[in-house]
Amino acid sequence: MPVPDPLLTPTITATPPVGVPPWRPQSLLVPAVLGGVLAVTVLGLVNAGRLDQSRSARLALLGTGLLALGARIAVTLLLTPSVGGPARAVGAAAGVLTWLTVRGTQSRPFRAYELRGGEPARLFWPGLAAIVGFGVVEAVLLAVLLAWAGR
Amino acid sequence: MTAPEHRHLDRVAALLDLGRPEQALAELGRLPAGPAGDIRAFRLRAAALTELDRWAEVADTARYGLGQGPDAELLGRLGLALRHLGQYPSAERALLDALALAPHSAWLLTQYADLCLLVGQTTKAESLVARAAAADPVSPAVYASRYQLAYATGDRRGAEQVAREFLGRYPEHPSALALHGLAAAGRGRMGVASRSLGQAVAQDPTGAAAAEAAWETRVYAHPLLLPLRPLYRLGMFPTWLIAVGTLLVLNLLGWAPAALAAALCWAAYCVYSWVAPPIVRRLVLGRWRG
Repeated sequence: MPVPDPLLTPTITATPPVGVPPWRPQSLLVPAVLGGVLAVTVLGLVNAGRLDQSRSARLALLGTGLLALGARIAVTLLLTPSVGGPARAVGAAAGVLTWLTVRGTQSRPFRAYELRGGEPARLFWPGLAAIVGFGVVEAVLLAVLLAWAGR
Repeated sequence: MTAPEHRHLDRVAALLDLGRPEQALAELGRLPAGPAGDIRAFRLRAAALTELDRWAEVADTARYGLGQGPDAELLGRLGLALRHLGQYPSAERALLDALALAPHSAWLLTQYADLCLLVGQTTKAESLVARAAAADPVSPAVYASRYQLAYATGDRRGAEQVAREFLGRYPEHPSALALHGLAAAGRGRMGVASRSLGQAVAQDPTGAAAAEAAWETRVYAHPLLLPLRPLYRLGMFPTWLIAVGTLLVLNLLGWAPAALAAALCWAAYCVYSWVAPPIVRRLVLGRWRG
């Protein structure tokens, strides 16, 4: 009996579902820098849902986001005990690190979505809301922690 | 089939080669019932409908033709049509049936590779494209699939290289021109992109995707979007690195007013990059409608 060619065996079980269009992962860099870790993590998780990504990809993003947030708080408390100024740069750097995970996990699925003829959704209003909303949440969280730490 | 009927089908094939699918369909409509049911007529009809992106009719024609017996080309057309209709598992079945009949067909292998790319199976697609390239390295379908693969894996330079090779070998092929234009657009070279895509549309006026891309690049070549060229050319991440690096250096040098001015300029540039393209698109569309 001839051995079946592994390349010519069926591997496609379903057509990817058509839902809400995803955002371009590269575009999430803007909320990452201006809004910080929380903004890019939440937007990234929403985008992962829109791209129908696996649970492991979502957990990787959530884990990176939590780690980056922890690192951002620790660095701010230890080195730059303030909410503005250098602490803002630390927040932006942590946001960029989280965005690198978004880009790493979502670029290929997004390009496959584009090859299927899909158009990206507009990020302007959700991005702005995330920058303002989560930026404020992060600043308040830091202020509370700084007050609690007596700085 | 009689000799005049064979000549009739040769004429249809010649019309397809000339990029006149609508005329080819009209010629096929003039065939009497007997030859119209010939497998070659079904192949030509499916090819003409493919050129016109009439996918539901391509699928119907292929199925009718396959009623006469298995045929690799018609199964390939059926797979292609089902892919465009979003029925990926059925498309895969049709393509695998076609490949069972013609396992070394570069066209079928690339069709299957393209389908795998759409569902994110890039490793399998890579192996299929390699096999297709081994079978026929200079087939236009192989060049197109190599481009798609490079694009899907984020290899923008690789995609541009393939597009250049393709255009070098087939300087007037509509797909070569379109892919060259798309690669140039991806690297922010909007002038080159607009020219190549315009030529692609001129070579194949029925190509809806190239026409849409040509329109998009014309939008991005608009004078109001000139300030965004560096962003498109460098890519988002390197541009941000340059901006953040500049701000850091200015701050380290203690030039606070310059750093503040640079930060404000950068913020304004970011907002402009978000807001300007949709506005220009609306402007251009409004002018065309007017």
